[in-house]
Amino acid sequence: MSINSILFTLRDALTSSQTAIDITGGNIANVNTPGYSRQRTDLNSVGNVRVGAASAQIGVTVSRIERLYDRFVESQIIDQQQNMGYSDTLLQGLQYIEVMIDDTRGGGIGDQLSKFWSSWGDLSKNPGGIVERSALLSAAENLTGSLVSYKRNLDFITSDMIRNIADTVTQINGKVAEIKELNTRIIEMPGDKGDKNDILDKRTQALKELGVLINIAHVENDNGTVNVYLSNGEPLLQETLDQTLSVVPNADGQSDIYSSISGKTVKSALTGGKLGALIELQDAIIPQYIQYIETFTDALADRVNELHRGGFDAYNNTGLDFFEIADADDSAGTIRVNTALAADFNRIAASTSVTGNGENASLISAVQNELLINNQTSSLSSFLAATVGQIGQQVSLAKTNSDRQSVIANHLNNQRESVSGVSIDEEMIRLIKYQMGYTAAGKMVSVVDEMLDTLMGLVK
Amino acid sequence: MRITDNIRFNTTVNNLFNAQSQYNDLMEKMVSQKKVNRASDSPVAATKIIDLRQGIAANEQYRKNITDSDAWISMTESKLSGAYDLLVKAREIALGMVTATANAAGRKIAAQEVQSLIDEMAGLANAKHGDRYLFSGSKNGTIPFLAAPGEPSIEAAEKAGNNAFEGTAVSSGTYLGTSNKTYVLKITREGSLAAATAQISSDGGRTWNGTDLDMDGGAIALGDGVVLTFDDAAGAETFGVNDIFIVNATAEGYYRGNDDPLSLTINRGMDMTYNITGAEAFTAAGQTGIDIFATLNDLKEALAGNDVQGISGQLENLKKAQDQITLNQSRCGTKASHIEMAKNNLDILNEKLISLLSETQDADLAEFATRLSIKEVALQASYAMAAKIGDTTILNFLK
Repeated sequence: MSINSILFTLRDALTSSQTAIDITGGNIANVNTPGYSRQRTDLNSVGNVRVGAASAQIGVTVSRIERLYDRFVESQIIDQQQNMGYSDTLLQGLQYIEVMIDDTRGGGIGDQLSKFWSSWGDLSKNPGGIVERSALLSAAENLTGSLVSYKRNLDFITSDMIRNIADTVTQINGKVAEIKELNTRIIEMPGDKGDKNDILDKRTQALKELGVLINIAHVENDNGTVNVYLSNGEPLLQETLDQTLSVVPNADGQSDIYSSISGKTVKSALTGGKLGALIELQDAIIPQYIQYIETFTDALADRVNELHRGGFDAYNNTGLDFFEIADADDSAGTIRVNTALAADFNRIAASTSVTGNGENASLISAVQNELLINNQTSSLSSFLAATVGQIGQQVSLAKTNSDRQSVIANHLNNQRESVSGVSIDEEMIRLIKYQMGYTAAGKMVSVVDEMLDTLMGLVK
Repeated sequence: MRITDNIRFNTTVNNLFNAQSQYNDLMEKMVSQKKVNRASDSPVAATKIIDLRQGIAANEQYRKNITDSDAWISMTESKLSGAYDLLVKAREIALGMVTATANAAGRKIAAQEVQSLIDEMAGLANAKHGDRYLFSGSKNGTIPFLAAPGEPSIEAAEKAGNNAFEGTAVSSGTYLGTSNKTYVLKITREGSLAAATAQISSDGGRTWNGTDLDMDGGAIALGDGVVLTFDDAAGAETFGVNDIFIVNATAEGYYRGNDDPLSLTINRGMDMTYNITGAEAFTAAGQTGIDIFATLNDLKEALAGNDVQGISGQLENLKKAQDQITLNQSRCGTKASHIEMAKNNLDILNEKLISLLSETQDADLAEFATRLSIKEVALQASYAMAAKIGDTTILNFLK
């Protein structure tokens, strides 16, 4: 063993410490990088010196850069992302509907409806009154206007959902392609020296981001790549073979989702993530509220028209239909006061006799108490109230759900941070440790230098 | 557990968000003074609030109806009590003039007095509330009583303003009915005279005869001698469905109104007739069967003709006339007390609804103010913690 070999050992010590400090620096630099897993240098002793019959390890080398992460927690986070994406998006969509139809503060359809009934009540007291007739016309027009705008708003939300679904599918395809790309690179880099760490981090992050969008299952293969499946088992990505989802509008104007491999609709498998919520809103929740408002409109128009036709107007003619519905499939969107009546309020049939007794107006005003909806169990206004109650219930449930999901997500994130997150305090202490190692090795070099000087002095 | 910087930051930020969102929620409730600001705040309360508000709006309408019918009834009552006083006066005159001490000259003067009573009576019976006659039934645009009795008459047929039929419709016949009626003929099947069918109503269109009648021949008997004859210009004019033809027929006598009740809804599902028709109060159709104007007129004639027998003959009728008015006054009284009761019920109900609404929707400010100050402390604590988060690191000791 020579003095020179001590210098080689010290060179290794210096570079190892430097690498360790480098890695520590990288950790500190990435303290705020989302998805970053902290890294650690694995130091191994190398080389051997013969000591008598045995040999001892005295050199040092960096064997690999280890990435600290917990596969189980990461997996749980990916699953959790799906619930988060689903409940947040559902809450958002429901809140749109709530804002629109909420009537707890007044001024909505409920109030317009009350004014409509009381206008009939006023007319019954003075069937010939011009003021009462025109007041009734404007109350009726306000009511139909509210119904139409309610329907328009629901239509608007539907088209918003359709747009959102298309955007989300594009994002999903992008994420799948990104993961495919990362899979490809992982195949290209065999072995595990730590050079793939950032790719693995990126892939985990991409899987999490994909999880927010859609409910998936993922499986890690032996070669380090992942496969991604839909919940019905249909693959989105197998190593480097991916498929794209496409949006196709169906006959009802809603979006269906087709897979490029099977060519079939995979909508039934999409029950989680942002896409799952958007599809539920589009297919079930919004149509339900449209159905409610249609039921309400039909019941209102049918009953008022029926009574109105039985009365006499100021010209002594029998009443026309009070409300007109241009398209029976879109009654709320196309209801309006009969144009003949709107043009001439004398055609409002306020009386049940040609002598003008105002009784018909009274009868129509009393429709407010008639049980017209839900198999004759609910009046028009209580039906509205129940509808508002239902959206309130759904929003409040979705809110609780979303809150719970974020608590779980926070908890899981903290667990992940606990394993993989960077602690500045820890890194600083490590820095001190490696720095000391580096300083000591440096000091050794000067000692060895002195030793060499001493040795050279012997020769003089 | 290994606590990293991100855990500390995330926890601090989440806590801060929580405190802020709870604080904000309370602030909104304080500012709006309502504990339910949107349906999701409390779905059950939201449903209740909407129901209650609808109930309160409906009550508002009932209350207006009550006020209006109350005014109408007290007006009717005061006119009837005026009529009663006039009848008392007429009876006093009759009693005074039936005695032997009265003479022809005195009776002539008394006859003039009775005439002025008749004029006053007509003024009462033709009184209006707003622009509607009190005693005309539902024909409240028509003056209810004539100055002199009319013969039975059938008015010219009216065609409704928007009929399809443009031929002529002529009424004819002699009215045999005892009360004033409005006959309505409604076309139920369109076409020429030969093809069309119609239904008939004798109460202004409220009820129909129920079977479709052929119109062949053009002359249709509407009932009680009233005939309506159509001329379709030899088939050139056709009827449209729901074409309406109206013939008013009035019976002999002073009364020109009809017998229709006027009613208003004074509570949920409770309609009340608030008028008394002139027929019930002033004509032979009333409970005691006395035509008040005819009686007064007969009295006047008897006085003018110095007919003691005739005068004494009206004494009994005047008594009955008083009874008839009294009866109708008491009907007014019943209606008024009915309305009063309905009004009280409504007030109590409304008070309940309003307090229930307030209970369901209004925030208890004292409670919320207390909760707000608690949350404020929590929020301040979160801020203080957030400000300290950078202090506790090893970096502070590495100098």
